[in-house]
Amino acid sequence: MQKFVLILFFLVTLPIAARPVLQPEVKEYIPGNGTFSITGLPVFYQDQKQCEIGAGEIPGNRKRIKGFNNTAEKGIYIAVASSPEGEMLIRDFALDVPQKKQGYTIKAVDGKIAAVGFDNIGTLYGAVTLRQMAADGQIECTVVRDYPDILWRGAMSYGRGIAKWNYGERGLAGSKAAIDALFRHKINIISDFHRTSQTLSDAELEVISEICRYAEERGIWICIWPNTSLYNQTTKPAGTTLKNWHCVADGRPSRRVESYYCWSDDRATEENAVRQVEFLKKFGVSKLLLVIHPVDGGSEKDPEFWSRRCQKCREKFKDDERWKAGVRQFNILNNTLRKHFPEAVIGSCIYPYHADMLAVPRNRRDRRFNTNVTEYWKNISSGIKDENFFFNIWMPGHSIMKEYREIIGSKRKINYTDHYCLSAGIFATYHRYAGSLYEENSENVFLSVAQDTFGQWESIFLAGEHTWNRNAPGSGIYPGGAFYDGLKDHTGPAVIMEKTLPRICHTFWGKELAPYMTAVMASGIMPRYIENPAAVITYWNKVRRDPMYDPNVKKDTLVNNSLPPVEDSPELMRRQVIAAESVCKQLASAGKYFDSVNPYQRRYLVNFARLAPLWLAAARAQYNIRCAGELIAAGNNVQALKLLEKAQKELDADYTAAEKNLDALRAEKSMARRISWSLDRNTMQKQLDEARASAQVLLQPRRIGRFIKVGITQGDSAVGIKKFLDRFANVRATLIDNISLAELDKYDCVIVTAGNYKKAEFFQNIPAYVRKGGGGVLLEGMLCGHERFDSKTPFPEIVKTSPARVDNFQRKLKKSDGTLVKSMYVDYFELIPGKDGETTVTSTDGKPVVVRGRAGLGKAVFCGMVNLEGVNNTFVTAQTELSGINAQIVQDAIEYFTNIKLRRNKR
Amino acid sequence: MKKFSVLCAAVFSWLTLPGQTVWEGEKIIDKEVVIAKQDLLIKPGCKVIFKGKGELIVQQGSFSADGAEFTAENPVEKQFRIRFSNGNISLKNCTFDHLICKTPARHIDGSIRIQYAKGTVSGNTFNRSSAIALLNSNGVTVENNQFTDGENGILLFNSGEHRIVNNSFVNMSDFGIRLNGSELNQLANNRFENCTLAVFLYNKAGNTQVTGNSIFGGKAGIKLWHSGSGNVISANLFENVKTAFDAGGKSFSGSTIYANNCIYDCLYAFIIPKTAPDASVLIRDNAICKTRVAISVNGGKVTAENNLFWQVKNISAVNPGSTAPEIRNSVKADPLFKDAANGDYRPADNSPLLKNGTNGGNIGLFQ
Repeated sequence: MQKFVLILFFLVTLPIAARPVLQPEVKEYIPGNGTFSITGLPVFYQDQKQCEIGAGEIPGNRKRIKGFNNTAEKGIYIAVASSPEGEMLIRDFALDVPQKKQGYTIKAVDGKIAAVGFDNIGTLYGAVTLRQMAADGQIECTVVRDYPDILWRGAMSYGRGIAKWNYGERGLAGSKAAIDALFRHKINIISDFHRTSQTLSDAELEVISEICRYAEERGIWICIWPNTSLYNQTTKPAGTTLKNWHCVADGRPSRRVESYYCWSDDRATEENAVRQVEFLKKFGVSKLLLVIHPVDGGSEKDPEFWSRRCQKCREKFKDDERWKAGVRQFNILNNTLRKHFPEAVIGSCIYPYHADMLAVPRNRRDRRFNTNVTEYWKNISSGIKDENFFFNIWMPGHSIMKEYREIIGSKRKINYTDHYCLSAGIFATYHRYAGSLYEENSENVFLSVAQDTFGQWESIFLAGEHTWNRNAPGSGIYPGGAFYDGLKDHTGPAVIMEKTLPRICHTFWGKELAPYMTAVMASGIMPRYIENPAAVITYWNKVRRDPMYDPNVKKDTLVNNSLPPVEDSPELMRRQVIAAESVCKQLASAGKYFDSVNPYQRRYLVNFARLAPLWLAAARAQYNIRCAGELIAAGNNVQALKLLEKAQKELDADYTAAEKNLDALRAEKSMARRISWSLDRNTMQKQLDEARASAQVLLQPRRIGRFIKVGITQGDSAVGIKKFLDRFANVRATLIDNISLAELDKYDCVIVTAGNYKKAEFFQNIPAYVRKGGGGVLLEGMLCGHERFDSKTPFPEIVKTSPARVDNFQRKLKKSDGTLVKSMYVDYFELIPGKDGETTVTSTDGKPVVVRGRAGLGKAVFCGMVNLEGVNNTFVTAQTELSGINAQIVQDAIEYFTNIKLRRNKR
Repeated sequence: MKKFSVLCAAVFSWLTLPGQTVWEGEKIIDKEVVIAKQDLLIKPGCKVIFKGKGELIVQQGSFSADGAEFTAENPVEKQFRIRFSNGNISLKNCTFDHLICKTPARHIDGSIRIQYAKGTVSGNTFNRSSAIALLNSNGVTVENNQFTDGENGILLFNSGEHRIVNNSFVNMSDFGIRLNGSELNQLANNRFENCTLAVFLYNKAGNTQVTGNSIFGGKAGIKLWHSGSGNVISANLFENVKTAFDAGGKSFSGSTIYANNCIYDCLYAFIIPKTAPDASVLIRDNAICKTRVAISVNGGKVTAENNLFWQVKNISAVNPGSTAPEIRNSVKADPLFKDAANGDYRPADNSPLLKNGTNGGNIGLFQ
């Protein structure tokens, strides 16, 4: 009986024990009989760079012998199929090498192992698979045949991923260790070289070029985004500014990038192409993935801001001939780049780059749509004769591809990216869609540019899993709609969390750390949500409503393929408390294995260890504050105070623990100068104090004192509003930094400028202040029922919502007496008044823009505009003193709230 | 050319419909203009300019103006600029500038006289102008007006049942509101800043509610002199006024209640001069803070109960021959206002102002 049990145990466990952990999973794994040890086996490798690197990948101390002319000796043999050594291995081992780029085969039998690749990189991949197969020093007798479905897979950020491992370090060992981690998981793109538009210094380029060469030897392509702009901020002619440039200019102040475009100046385009070539040469590599970026913006209504092109461009290209200008520029750039980088993969994110625009039903596509989208794509594709020139698109729903293919032709290469997702968590599973645009016999590229992959290694390895093998467990075909679902993509699908993620963690973190890191990654922790719930929920709802929402570009919605919005709630934060507790516990238990990873990867691990207790402290404090807020809103102030007492104790304990933890890890090396977490003890203590003060506020109607006290929340327009109000003798205007009840209660009225408020505070404190405290609030712009606040307002009886943003470049609005007055900004939100709303300002065609009304003991005014100046009649804003109708609206609002006329200062 | 324009304006402005006169554009009044037995409508934007001794007299019809401007080039003596009687008046959102009656005479005290009338005066701005005088009228609402840099604001003479609410008086050199022989009026939620005298109840002015007014600066807040009985003075705020209440006069009689007022940073809170022997004064639920003398008594029967005194040098001062006030249930503690330094006199949640008033009510500014 005992024997039987033992045999049974052996039979049950044998396949599990023998099957190595491989990531990405291989296509074919045919187990043979038995296992053998690789200890002491020499490595024989072809005298070729990738074979040499591959030989170095085989773990353990052993002889590594360059070149071989027979396979008689027991050992590990590595060669490329087309070489004499490779042909010998194929013959001696009876190998069937997949006839696919990057493909390879491995055969392990009787103390001998052969790894033969279809090409150089395939051979290297064979070696790294062999590394995973023999991680325990034993290998199963087996045959592996493997190749990728998609040749270019994933992308790791240089700036936020690779360079982080090298932070503060002399030499490049950290960056090289990071690249090793990439190619060992068969990821073959590095992107996100910050400031790559000819602005990197020679010293920076020298470092980068060494890293790029190291990466290239390991099959990794360098993704750079040249631009069609003739000049940027460093190459522009002296005296050129965004304002005085004659044609289309684009400034991104937050990134300090300036781009100057013109389609009619071929000479300048050629000079730009030459500059790009000279710059790219400094990378010192040939495996370049070049995505030429045209003007970014204008959507299908005015793509690339074509309507703003200069007179010369107009003379050369008619309104419907943007494609001609595009073909001309792309050809110049492509030909010049191709001439110098024949191996490069070159293309462009032809604008508009959302293939999902084809989700617009044909009967809703007007002439403009066809000219700017479908015909443009078609004409560009037929105009660029180089078939290797790819089109870069945001991944569309699978069904869209058929029409897209019809438009651009069957031969055109496609480089498809994910949706620039701003992931709230640390591991996200939307990469399961990465292989969903697989096309048989194509050489398409999947480029992940997701923000979460900036340093989020496990996620990018998942992208590798599903592009290497489009049928990997859990693979999904992206159906269109929201690409990223924050509620689901950090905790499921189960098959990924339970099967794929443990493999990723095993190969990346090693078998000791893997169980802990798997639990950490599957915990559902969302640091970005904890840190800024309002911003995250807003973003979620934007992509849920408009799958093509691009956080980098202002554009209009075209496709309505929406998911219901997510309502923020204490429950969401409670789940984060639980997740953070789990992460802390797992990392604490994993501490004993920290030494099992290399010192550079250890930084990435330590970063989690440093942050996790802070995540917990902030999540718990926020959860408690939210619960207290709900109690205050319900009038249960005493209970709220009790809860906040408990919250104070927990905050003290949690932050003390977090600070002790930081102290304990102080000697550990970091990935950055400062820890990336804004919710420190003081910040949360301030929030707790505000909540406590709010719970202690006895709301009563106010009596206006000698001066009208006006609070102005610190949004962009606050300075201009204060400047205006400071001109009145009976007003004292103060900038305030929060909307706690205690703060609001200090003022007779408050101007709540468009900004990022916690939704709970906004919907609890503002109404309480007005209805019970008799205060007055002026809500500005997006606060009037914008999607950011789930299209709701705190006073639905006055304004229900503001569904539409409307351009107003004529900058005129109509007062209730019919007079037209100039507005400061170039757009407004059209308001939908509630039953008690009185419209006081409208658009010229009578749509409500300012609505006011009473609510409880107080009053509210909704102003669908921001109080900012639209510089040169554009969306660029300037903080100037209120003028025109904006000044009148603010003055009228305060007089309406207080029944006191404002008196100008005497000069 | 200019003359021609004025002439045209004058010609086209007299758009007379049966029973109605409509003014728009510019109207010069340089002599007595009488509009009788018909309505006068002055349209928004119309500029009415008084010159010399020009006077507008509207009688036995209605008078309405909305968004018009009234200015005078010069002050006048012993005369009004506008006289309205026997009808309904509506003055809204108009501006009155420099309408001054330089030497008022009996029954001629102000620049606008409204007599035997009903109606509304609201949302107007009176700049450097003499008072609106409501004579022998009932039921006029005067609200949301702004009176600035004038001599006096609103005068009620032998009038009643008027609502004088939410007006603002700034830098009035004489008074803000004066009631002479008027009864049953409501003076509520008005603001007075730096007015020599904010409210004056005079000559048997009685049964008047003076509530919720805010008085900042000035010599005297609310003065009752020879006034009648039944006045209730409640929930008024006095900040930095020399004397908050000055109540007396030989014929001052009947009972007056001062309740729930807040007196802060004043020299005197209450001065009760010699009064008729039967006069009684009840001072209750008031918050009196940072004041030299709370109650100065020269006569009459004064009862003070459930008041809060804080930083008061002398709670009472009794002049020879007077009866000391009966003071009971006083609270002597920091009132714990929310933010008195910035004009917020609402009590904090742990303030002694709460529930220590009469019958467990509150002390201070509670209406």
